[in-house]
Amino acid sequence: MARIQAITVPKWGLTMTEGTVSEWLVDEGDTINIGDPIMDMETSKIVNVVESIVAGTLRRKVAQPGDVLPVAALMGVVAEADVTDAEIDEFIDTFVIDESVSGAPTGAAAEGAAPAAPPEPTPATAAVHEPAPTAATPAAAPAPAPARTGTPSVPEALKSGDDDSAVHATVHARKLAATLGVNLNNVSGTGRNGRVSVADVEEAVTGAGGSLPARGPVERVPEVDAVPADDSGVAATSVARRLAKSLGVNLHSCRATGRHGKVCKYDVEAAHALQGGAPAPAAPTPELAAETAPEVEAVPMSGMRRTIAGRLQASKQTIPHYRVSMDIKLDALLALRKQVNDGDPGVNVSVNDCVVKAVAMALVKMPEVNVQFDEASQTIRRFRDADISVAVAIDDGLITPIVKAANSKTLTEISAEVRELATRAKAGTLKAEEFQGGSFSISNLGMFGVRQFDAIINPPQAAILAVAGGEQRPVVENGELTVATAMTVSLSSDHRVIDGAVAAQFLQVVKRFMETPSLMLA
Amino acid sequence: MAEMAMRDAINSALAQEMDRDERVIMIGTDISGGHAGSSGQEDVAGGVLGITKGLLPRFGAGRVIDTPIAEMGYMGMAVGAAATGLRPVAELMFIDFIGCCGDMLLNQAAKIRFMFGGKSTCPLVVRTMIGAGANAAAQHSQSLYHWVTAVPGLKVVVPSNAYDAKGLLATAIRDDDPVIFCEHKALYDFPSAKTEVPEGDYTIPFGEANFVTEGSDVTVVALGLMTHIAAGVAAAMAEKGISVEVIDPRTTSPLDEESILESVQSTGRLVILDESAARCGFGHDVAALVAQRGFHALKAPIKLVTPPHCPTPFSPPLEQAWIPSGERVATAILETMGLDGAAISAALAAA
Amino acid sequence: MALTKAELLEAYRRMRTIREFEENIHRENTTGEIPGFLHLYCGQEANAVAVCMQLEDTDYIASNHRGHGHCLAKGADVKGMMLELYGKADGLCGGRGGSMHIADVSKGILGANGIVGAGAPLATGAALTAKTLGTGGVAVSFQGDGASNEGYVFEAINLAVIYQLPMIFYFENNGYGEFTGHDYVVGCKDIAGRAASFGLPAVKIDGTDFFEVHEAFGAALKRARAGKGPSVIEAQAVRFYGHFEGDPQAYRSKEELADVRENKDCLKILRNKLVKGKKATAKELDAIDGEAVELIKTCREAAKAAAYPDPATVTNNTYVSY
Repeated sequence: MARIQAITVPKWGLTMTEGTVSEWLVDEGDTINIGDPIMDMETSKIVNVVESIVAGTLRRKVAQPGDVLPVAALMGVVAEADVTDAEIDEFIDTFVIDESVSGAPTGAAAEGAAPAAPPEPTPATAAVHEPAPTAATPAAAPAPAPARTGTPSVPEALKSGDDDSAVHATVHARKLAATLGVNLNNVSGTGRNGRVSVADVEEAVTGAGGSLPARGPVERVPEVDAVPADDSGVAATSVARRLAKSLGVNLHSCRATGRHGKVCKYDVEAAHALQGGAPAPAAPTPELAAETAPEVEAVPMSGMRRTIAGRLQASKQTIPHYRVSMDIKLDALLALRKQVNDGDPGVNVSVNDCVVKAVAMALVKMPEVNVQFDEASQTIRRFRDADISVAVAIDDGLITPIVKAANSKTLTEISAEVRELATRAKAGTLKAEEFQGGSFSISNLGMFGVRQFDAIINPPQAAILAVAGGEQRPVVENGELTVATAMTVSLSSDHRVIDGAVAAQFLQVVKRFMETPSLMLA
Repeated sequence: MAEMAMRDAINSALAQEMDRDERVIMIGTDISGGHAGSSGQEDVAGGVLGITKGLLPRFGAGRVIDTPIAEMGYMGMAVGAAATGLRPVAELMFIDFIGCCGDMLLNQAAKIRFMFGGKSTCPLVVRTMIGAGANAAAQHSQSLYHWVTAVPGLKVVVPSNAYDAKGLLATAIRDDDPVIFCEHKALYDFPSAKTEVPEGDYTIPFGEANFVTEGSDVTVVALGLMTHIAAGVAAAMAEKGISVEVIDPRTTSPLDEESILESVQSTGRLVILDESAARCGFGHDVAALVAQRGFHALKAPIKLVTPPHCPTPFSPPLEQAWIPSGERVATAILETMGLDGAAISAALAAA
Repeated sequence: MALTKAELLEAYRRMRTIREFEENIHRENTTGEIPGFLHLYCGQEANAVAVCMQLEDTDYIASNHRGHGHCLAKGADVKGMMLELYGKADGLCGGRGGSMHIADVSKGILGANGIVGAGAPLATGAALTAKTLGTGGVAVSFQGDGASNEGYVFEAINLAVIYQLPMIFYFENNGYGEFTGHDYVVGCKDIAGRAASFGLPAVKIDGTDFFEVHEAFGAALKRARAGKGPSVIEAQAVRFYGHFEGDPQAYRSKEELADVRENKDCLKILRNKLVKGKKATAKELDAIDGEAVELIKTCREAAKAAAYPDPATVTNNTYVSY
């Protein structure tokens, strides 16, 4: 193994050219293994974890959070213990980006070069170096670009021959042959009726050991703007017209889906999104903003916003929702939670984790609630395990990562999993299968001091539990007024598949698990 | 070599081939005219536009066969004759009447060889008139060559000048497959379709385009009458320093895909001028060809200039508005050069 | 013209072979091994055989969708036909045509045809070739009562008349065009009578009687060969099976179906006449029956075992050159 190794910016996909360092996940002095997550890195498309492809001790973090670095740039140095700091400094000073990976043409040297071969789909790249003075030599030299000179080289053998004016050739084949000095008698035609094509001439030249200049990239002409600038004649709602003006969208480029063929607000937003969501005119300076800020600001909807809007509107409109609420006393559960958390400093179980566990166990007891409803086939899909979707608020929306088979997991496992899912949800790195599906949802707004609320079902699921905050409340028990910690939960159910009595019984079971938490261990 | 109108070139090709091969016969309605029962002279018509005049006296009624107005019957007879040893040249007066004999072309002529496992041939030529410009209105002006091009088993020729018409018709008659030979009625006496035509025997192979002009900036593909419009625009463009290559494929089946692709490879720009249809036409087929196999050479979107999606109108100003114009072609060419609307207007005004 | 014993036995053999071929398909079709539409000729064999036995290979016939009998009678190879019906590579048309487009131009067969009535103009063209090139050949189109209402059949008859072509239009009126009786669709109820108005001889005959067909067609053929122009023959025939295989024929009464089998079976009628007229013995005819069964069995086994065409050859024979 090399004594000094570089950690470099990986290339995720053909179009990635640079990445932004979000956060180091390891510290200098840490020992890292191949495959270890070492950094969160953001690209124009995703936030992803950089996995190490080298092993050893991280000696130096070269890149800092916020740095924007090209692909293959140096981010850190891994080295063995006996390598001195001076050697590492020299390694950093002499490090050269491997352009076969970065694909970034620089200077005249790259002019006319063929594009780099697509990189191998490795999880991350690392140029592996021996210590100085050979540090600048890449271990794997990039394959030389195919040699394509600017002038053709045509073997003499192709140039001689009798008059070729009678050879059957296409107009362009004859032109090319004349340019290259090729006598068409030396080219075999593969076209209809034995006709010689451009490809045949080229084949003859390369086949005889000659070469041809590479075809350069095509320069496309800019598109002619066929949209008339004046859109005052386009039928549009007044809201759409104002929004179009503020977004700089020409109403001619909008579809008209509104009533009477009018362009409506949605059409303008769609056209705006289609045009790459070109940003609205630059924000005015603060002092001007106070004067000129509009009373109402039109904020375009993000894709996620639109998805949420569409799905939940459909849910509310098509699913016959009804709600059942119940108060749950938390004192016993809070005591248990304290015991668990005190027992292990690495554990921090939340009330919500306990709700997930209690609901999961209740769902196994009452499988008629642990269902999805397939409207198309009019079937109820009953799940064996409780796959619980936990709503997580993220910037401009929410997402519901799933704790799969929560019924078979311990409180601490659930706790760790929820935390990890929530973190990755906020970072935007969830995989589709981690948030699509689920047999039941939980939405918790307790942290905001909410006393009670209703949630909208997340189809094709058939129920969602809205969990409010726990608070001390006066309660009457056995004729005595005492104080207890309690919270209110509300279950929204789809009456097509879950009847009221079932919903009420389900809440009873949840309540029983929560109020007598030892039952969850039974 | 004499200069000849396209009508005379076609007549001369027919005479030449009938002289050359006694199996060649002609079948069609009023291709001579004036037979028994008429009180005047025979062969005074020679077809509605006189293209086949003079052939009856020369070859006799046994080989120049006037038929009743019964397209399906005589076309079927022609197909049957072709399958059994004759080489008929049947005339479908206007391609618009293809519905009256559709089955015989679509289901019989085109498929006999294939369905019979290759054990038969069908050396039939169907001469038919296409094209607008004669105020012939909606039922006598269509250019339905794209219909027949879509049928495997049929070959389709659309000549644009006298020289090509004679050479291509000779090839068609000697070809062992059924050929639909589409003659644009406006070209019979069209001045620029008049060319030098050799007196002797020559053929032009199918599937080989004619380069009307050679150029380096824009490729224009056009057939029949449209070729002449394209050539006029190319000359005007040349004065403005834009070099236009006009390609006349001459046959739509087989199509000289190679020449079109090679030309686009060298120019990077394609305008198609096509009288067939605004939807699913021949032009769309060429556009699809280049989009599939020449896309990377394109510097600008492909432009298609066709009539609007409506039947050919009768009234002269309406018909002129319907036929693809030189102005529209010029605009399309300039647009592929990346010139904007204002520049186009200016260029057209200056033209 | 008296037929020799050998000719009569050969006629019986051909009719019996067609019958066995079709009955075999009728049975085998239910196994699903024969692709596509099948229209059986059973019941009409006397027509195809009495017509085609008088023709040479240089004479042409154009057939219709119910074409197996015509092709077999005109000399198409039995095994090649069976293979074609099974869609096999060595079928008469290489698996390109199938039942509805079966053809063998070398035997003067311009093909069965999937388009009702299309054979009439095609055969007219073959007659035009014969006349133009002076080959001495004739052309016959076989079509049914259904085709008698197609416009281009009228056009073809008119063309044959005006050019005085050596052509016979042979209408097999089996009583049903698909599922509809001819009385309903033929306005004047009389195909031959209607045809006569085109200006050519047109006769109506009993298509279940081999001898009557032979005589009527012989007369028309003689006219055609002599350059005296075309003729029309309308033969009253019967169809045993449905329009296509799988048609339960609910539009026909049980009594009618039983009657045609019992009293109008052209094969049975010929056999009785041969035996009663002492032209052949029952033993001789039984031997022919056995040979026909054997032949078809052999062909069937060969067809089942034969290879399908190579998909790589799918575009073959679209053009002679392209």
